[in-house]
Amino acid sequence: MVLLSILRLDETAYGVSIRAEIAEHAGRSVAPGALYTALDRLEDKGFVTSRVGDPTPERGGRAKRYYKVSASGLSALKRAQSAYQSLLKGLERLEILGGPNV
Amino acid sequence: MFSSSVSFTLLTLFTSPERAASIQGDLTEEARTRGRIWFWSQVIRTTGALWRHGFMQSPLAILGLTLSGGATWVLMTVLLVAVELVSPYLGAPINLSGRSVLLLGALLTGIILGRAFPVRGMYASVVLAFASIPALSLILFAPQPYGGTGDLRLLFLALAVALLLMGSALSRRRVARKAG
Repeated sequence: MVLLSILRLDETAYGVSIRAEIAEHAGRSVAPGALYTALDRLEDKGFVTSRVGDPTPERGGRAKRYYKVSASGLSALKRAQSAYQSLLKGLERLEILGGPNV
Repeated sequence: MFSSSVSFTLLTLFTSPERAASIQGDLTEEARTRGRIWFWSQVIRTTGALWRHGFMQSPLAILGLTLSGGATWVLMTVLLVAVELVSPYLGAPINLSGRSVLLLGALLTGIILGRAFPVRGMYASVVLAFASIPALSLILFAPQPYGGTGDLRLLFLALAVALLLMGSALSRRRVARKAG
């Protein structure tokens, strides 16, 4: 979810905007602490890269840290998508997914 | 004013100053609409999350350091008692109470952990601080000579834990400053 949010936000992905994107599209609030540790893990794995922007007054003079999905992050996303679709195959008839009852 | 140095200091305990600055900036930005209580609760929760994240990366090493820290604390306490006992013979008697010895031992242990292991030492100090609470309670709430009957035992307990963490944090900060 974090990787997808960063992809959607493109050049403007930083802590606050990522949390807002997840809240808007997934309908759930992510705690800042959980997000920053997730971002650290993704960066350690090489799935995202980060750069520091300019400091702004509304942030108490602190700079934003912008995140970007790397090539290996994109590959990981594609693998996850493929696994998800593979797992969904054969479940079309389940009522829970909107299909006719078995 | 949300961007206090206290929140920055707390965040830098378990992450780099650059990352702590951006996290503090994010929290400050959101706190403009959410308020001061939200800001401080998130600073504390984020600090806790960063500690858990760091601890889980090398739990065995940190637990090993915690044990070493505990042994150091005991050793420091024994050394301080020895100094107190020997000092009259050296012509400069030092009079430390049992509680002062424990407090000094806590501070010195924190300093040693933070100085020798600037990153993991801080994680270990937190584990040691929590682990020391039951051990210190046993000593403090025991009968004399260390237990006493005063009402300040809980305050002493908090002070010992605070000194341990403070020693570690100050050493870590100093090492980080020297490193550039």
